[in-house]
Amino acid sequence: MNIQEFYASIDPAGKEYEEVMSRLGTERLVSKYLKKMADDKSFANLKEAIASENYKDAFMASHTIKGICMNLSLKLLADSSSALTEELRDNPDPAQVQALFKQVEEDYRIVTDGIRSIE
Amino acid sequence: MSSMKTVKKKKILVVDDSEMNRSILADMLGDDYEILEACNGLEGIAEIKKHEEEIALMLLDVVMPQMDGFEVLAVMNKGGWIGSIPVIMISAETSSTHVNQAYDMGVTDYISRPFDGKVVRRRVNNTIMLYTKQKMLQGMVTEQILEKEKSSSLMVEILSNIVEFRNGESGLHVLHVRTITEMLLKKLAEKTDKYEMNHTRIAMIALASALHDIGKISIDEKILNKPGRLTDEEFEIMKTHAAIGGDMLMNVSDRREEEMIKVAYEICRWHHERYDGRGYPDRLKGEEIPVSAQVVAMADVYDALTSKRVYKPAFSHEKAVEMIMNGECGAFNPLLLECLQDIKEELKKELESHSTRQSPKNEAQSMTTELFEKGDMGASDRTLRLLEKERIKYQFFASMSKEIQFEYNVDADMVELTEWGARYLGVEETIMNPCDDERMRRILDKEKMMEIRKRVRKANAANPIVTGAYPLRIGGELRWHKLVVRAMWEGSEEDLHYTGAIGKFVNADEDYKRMDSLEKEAAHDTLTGLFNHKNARKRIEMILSERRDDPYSLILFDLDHFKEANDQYGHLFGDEVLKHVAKKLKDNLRKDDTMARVGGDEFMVFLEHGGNYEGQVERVFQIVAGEYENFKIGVSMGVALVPKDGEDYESLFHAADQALYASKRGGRNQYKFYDDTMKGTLSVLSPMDGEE
Repeated sequence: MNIQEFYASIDPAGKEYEEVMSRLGTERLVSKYLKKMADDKSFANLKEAIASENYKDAFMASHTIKGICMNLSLKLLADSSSALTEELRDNPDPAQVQALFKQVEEDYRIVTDGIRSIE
Repeated sequence: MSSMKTVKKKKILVVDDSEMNRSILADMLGDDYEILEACNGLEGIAEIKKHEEEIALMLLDVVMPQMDGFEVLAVMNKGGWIGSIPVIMISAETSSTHVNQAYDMGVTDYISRPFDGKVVRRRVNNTIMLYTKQKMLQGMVTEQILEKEKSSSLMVEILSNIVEFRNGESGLHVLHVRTITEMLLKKLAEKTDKYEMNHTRIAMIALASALHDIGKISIDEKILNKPGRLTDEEFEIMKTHAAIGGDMLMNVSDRREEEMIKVAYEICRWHHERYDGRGYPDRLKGEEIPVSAQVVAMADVYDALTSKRVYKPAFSHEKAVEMIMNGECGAFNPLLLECLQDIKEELKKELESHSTRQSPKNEAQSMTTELFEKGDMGASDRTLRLLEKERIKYQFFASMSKEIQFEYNVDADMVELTEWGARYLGVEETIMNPCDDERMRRILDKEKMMEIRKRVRKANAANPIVTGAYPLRIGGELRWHKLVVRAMWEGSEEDLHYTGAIGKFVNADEDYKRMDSLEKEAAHDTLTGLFNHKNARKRIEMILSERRDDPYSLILFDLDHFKEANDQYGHLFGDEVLKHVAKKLKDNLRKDDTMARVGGDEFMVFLEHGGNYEGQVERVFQIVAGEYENFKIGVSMGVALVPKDGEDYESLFHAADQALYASKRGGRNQYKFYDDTMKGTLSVLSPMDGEE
């Protein structure tokens, strides 16, 4: 799979590929940061913080993921992590957090799997 | 300072907890800038502290562990860094409260995520350029401050020149000592915080260094300029110059210059002390010697070594440095020796180029940097940006308004005109000592300028505005201008300090001409303040009706060749002549005498003569005839006497008119009394030889 195909695989109708290219300029950079994203520890941090109900750290990690995804036009994960971030920001409801985190986890898997299949 | 050789990349500090974000930014900006990275607020602050002066811009994330973006901004505000380091905030937080808070805390720009490479690059470039421009603007402001210090600088120069003149040294010694002092101090400031050196202090010490030998004024010239070595006794006398110089400064009481005098005192008294305690006059040792004196001592020795003296040749730069380093010429602070070692190449170059240079102009630059760092100006960069904007706006409107706008600075006695105003008047934009400036005096009389200056000076905060009408000579012709000036003060309410004024001249020539015609209706002639014809007549008729036996004379006169003066010098000049004549009348005649301007250049005087009418007419003639600004005022005058030539206004006026005509015909510049032979001659009121 190349990069364009990767973005299409996540959101067939979307313009994310064009977006990220215009933002970062070259495929080399996009690919570099996608790889970094897959190796980023933020998700692990998030998972751990959620498990221990440390919502402050969870907010931080979720916020970071959201930021990264926005920069990389990973809309799928950006949306779900954004929803989680907002829930975590003020008086998070544990049940809600769990539900939103599930979505993030799912999307994160899709995205990272996709990234790993990029040649 | 940017030079072609040192293309050093500017540094940008990226503070973001996400390694990836930092990396992306680094990729976007890495080509043009050197990127410093910090992964949270605390680290960011640490980086600022470490690289404060080198950071051209900071990119700051909001949500971060340890210390978030807003906390970083708070610290930067407290530490004064916000004024010197532009901050662009980058965040996914787009709520307006966030953005506003960021701006309130002094960020220059806000970029929301996801950011676009091109946008980031452009905004970063713009911000850095803007700040560079502000620095330049600050430089301009600083130069104005330095302008004020010129006076003390001047004093120093005069004094040191006196010393050098008596010493028979070249004028360069003082300049060299000053330069060396400055360079050594700068190096010293780099090496240690111990002496609390900053640019202001360095500039002050460098300036004061020029006074180091001022005590020599009191040394006998024979000793001072003795060819060959001094005897022990002579040397003892010579040595007193240090203490004497100090005493001289102790006696200077100028509160404003307190710090400067103190520094100069230290330098004068102790610039012959030695670090090992074997110097004079107080045998101070080590750090007992103020650092100012230590540095000047070294500079003095270096310059003495490299200069030719009657008793020794000039040593080379290398030899001089070597001798000082080896302790052959005095004993110095090891740290200072290190400084000398460090700057020796630079010093050599600097002094070689010196002979061609007028005065060290580098303070302004360094001072600017300092102001920049510390915000000493009390004006934030944002304020300066606004100022710059205002300046452009002002310049634009000024050029449109066709007004001669100016600023006057009293300390410098300097007028600054807007570009348009200067061009219109045909002078420079900056004029020093305007009252004594030849070109200015051609435009506006010195007395008028002094009058304006006096009036502005008298203004107070309740009534700061002074207005008036003044004739300006533009392109050789006088034109009326309305003046509006506002006096300016600085300082607190109790201690206001007059600093100058701002104001403008607006061309009002047309208005005045129009007013002139309107005024004819009114009682007084506005131009001269005399009665107009109508009212003079009323008044004279009243006097005549109440008259008993008192004899009166009615004098009618006009100015010879007045029309030519008008044609040649402009009608405003003509007006000035008329005013001049009127003033002469008012100054010299009695209040009760009726004085009137009855036509263009035609005047009428009606006065009681008490018998000696001939003497009186002669006197009036002499009062009026004369000269105004190289224009010769000739007067043709006709006189009718009451009751001899009539007892009613009509007859008297007619008689005087005919006598006046006779004077003209008789060759002008004379007076004639009416007699019957004149009867039936032409009247002045009917034009003759082109005069109205």
